[in-house]
Amino acid sequence: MLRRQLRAILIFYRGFWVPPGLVTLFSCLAIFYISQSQIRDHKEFYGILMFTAPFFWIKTFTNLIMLLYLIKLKAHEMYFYANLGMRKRELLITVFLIDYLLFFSALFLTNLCLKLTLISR
Amino acid sequence: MMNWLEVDSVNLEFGEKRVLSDIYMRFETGKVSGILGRNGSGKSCLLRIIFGTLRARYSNVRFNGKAVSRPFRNPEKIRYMPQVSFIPKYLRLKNIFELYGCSLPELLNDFTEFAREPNLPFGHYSFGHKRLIETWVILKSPSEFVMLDEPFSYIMPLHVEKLKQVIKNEKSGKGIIITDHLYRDLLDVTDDLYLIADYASLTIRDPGDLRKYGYLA
Repeated sequence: MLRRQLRAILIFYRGFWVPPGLVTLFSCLAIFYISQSQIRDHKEFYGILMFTAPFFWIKTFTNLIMLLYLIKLKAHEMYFYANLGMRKRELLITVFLIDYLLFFSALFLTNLCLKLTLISR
Repeated sequence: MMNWLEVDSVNLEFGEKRVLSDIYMRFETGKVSGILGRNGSGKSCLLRIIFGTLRARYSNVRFNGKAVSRPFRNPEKIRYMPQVSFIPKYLRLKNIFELYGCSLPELLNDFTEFAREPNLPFGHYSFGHKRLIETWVILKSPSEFVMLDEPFSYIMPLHVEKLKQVIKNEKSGKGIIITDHLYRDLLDVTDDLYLIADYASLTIRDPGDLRKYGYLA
């Protein structure tokens, strides 16, 4: 049952992952290039958190739009998941937690890449 | 073992508009129950209330006498096919059938036209075929009760006849609740029949009652 529900969550995320994925990709690339242009030496680098805040809010704003889209335009599909025993609210919360997890994982990798780039300079 | 599902004291209003009032219905495994009613009489709302995705001002749903607040949380107890298409378009038949615990070869055997392209994404099928697949998946899923909202609409007559046979075969293991405006097809398969008229539920014992209560002219 749980395995089936986990599969259903991934199926639901598959239906709309592209726009949030692009926002994550854009945020990481932007943070990478902005950080690179502003920091000359790895000794000045204290992690990308100093550049992250605006992108976090862009991510949150686009996710809110995505949430509205899902609630309004994917309402019929919710029966597919309800028939697997899932509530709409828990489905939405879970997929957005997954999306934020991917966002922060991508930021962590960006941080790592940036550090290596600065050290190799 | 016979299981039963009761829905009791359903009162539903949308603002000032009364939709359902003191509805009582009882459904049993081994039987097909039909619900008839005019457009806007609240049939679909009633199914959603039973399923647990629509909150009424008051309602009581009981399985074998035990009240359940969100029946859809137990898919082994109840499943529901809404009037609208509900399966994600990008899912392939194999995945849909796996998730719902149904057998795809069984569908391919009964409806041979699917055998030509048995594993397309759901969105690639015609509307009628989609409807048939959705009905099949809910009907055949391992659940004590299944509710089908307009299963015969949009399906070609040849398939309706086959579907009726599948419903008759399937009822031995489950309770099937159907609502549809194609009342002749519904009468062919039902053991019990209810009519929703003037917000209330009426038990129909004879098809002539449908005329008496103003459902037929």
